[in-house]
Amino acid sequence: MLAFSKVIQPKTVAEAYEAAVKNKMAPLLAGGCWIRLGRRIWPVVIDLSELGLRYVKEENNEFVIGAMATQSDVEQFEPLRQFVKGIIPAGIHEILGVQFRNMATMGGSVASRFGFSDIIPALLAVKTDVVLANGGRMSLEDYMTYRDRDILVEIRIPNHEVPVAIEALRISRGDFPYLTGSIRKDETGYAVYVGTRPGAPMKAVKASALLTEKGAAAAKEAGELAAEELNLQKNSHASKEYRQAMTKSMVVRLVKEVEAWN
Amino acid sequence: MELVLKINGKNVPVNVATDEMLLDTLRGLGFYSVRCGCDTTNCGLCTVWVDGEVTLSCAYPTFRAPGHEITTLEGLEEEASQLADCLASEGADQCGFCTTGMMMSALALKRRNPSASDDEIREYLIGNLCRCTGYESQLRGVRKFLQGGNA
Repeated sequence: MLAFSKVIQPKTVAEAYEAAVKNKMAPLLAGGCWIRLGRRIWPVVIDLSELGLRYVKEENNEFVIGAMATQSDVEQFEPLRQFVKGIIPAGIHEILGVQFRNMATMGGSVASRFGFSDIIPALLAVKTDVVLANGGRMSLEDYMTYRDRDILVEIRIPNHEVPVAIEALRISRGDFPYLTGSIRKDETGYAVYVGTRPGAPMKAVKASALLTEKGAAAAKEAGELAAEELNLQKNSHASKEYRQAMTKSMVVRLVKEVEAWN
Repeated sequence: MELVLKINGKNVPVNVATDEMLLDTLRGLGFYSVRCGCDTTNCGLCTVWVDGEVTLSCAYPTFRAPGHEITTLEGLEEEASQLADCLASEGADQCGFCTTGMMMSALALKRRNPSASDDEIREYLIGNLCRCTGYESQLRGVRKFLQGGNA
């Protein structure tokens, strides 16, 4: 388990950021769901539970999710069940069990940038932004490669209905997915994202451009391009070849789903 | 750390290590219905309620517990007894190791959705793993309990 001898409990985001910078190696404790998987002994951890960041609300035509809101808080937030056919709660619902989702925070889920995340592909598809204590507001897509020591404060989703679809492929229910993906179709064209490569979700840039140029008729070609352009690797859940084959199918399925949107 | 926890409605003073998890604190206090299974937030054996929400105590730092209501199966004795009878009558209890955690989830489900369908029962209990029964007998037992049936 993760062991520590001291805990810092900041009361404000500014204090938390200051503590994070001062204690550069200290883990930030959010929901704590993987706390028992660690083996290191840390002199200090920074607990984020007293920052007042557990909320989900609508504000200025955006859904605003505090970093300490749990996955269950979001899953049960009725306006998000109505938004883009409820893909955000649907993505969350597949994650392990109720107890886990009652503890896991949205901030922890996003900031960890886990490759196997069910949530991140869905959030990418709806053009989510994040707000950081020091880095300010940036797109989630940019945040995926942001490496500065910072505190994730909020997740902001524009309340803008556009055709989107998500997929998560699993060996069995309750397991981690071995491949995830999402798609968005708006006035600028298509955007396809693939996760659990097993690396963190990222945009299939060439496949997205091809779909934007040629439309849904190029779905099969786009799937092949996505499988080729992304760095798909093996892990305990799937081989590289299996992921490549399933990426082709998944992209075709995503295109079909987003085209069937009405 | 010296803390006061509210467990099953009673204030309980404790002295815990900074990195102690609620599972260990509760077992140290004699709440043996709270069990350690996977110890990695997957199996549901350590399920307790924190402010009425099912929570995995193996990953809940005790220092966060003051100010919250902790409930274990020991605090739900009468209701738990009725549920236990329903589970037993359906053969849903073999080695019994997962049973207490699953009961905490089933009792929470009764409060949240007393008329849960079979699919909703399955969904709610998905975080409680059992390696004996194959879940069908537990589904029958929880269904019987929610319907207010006698064993």
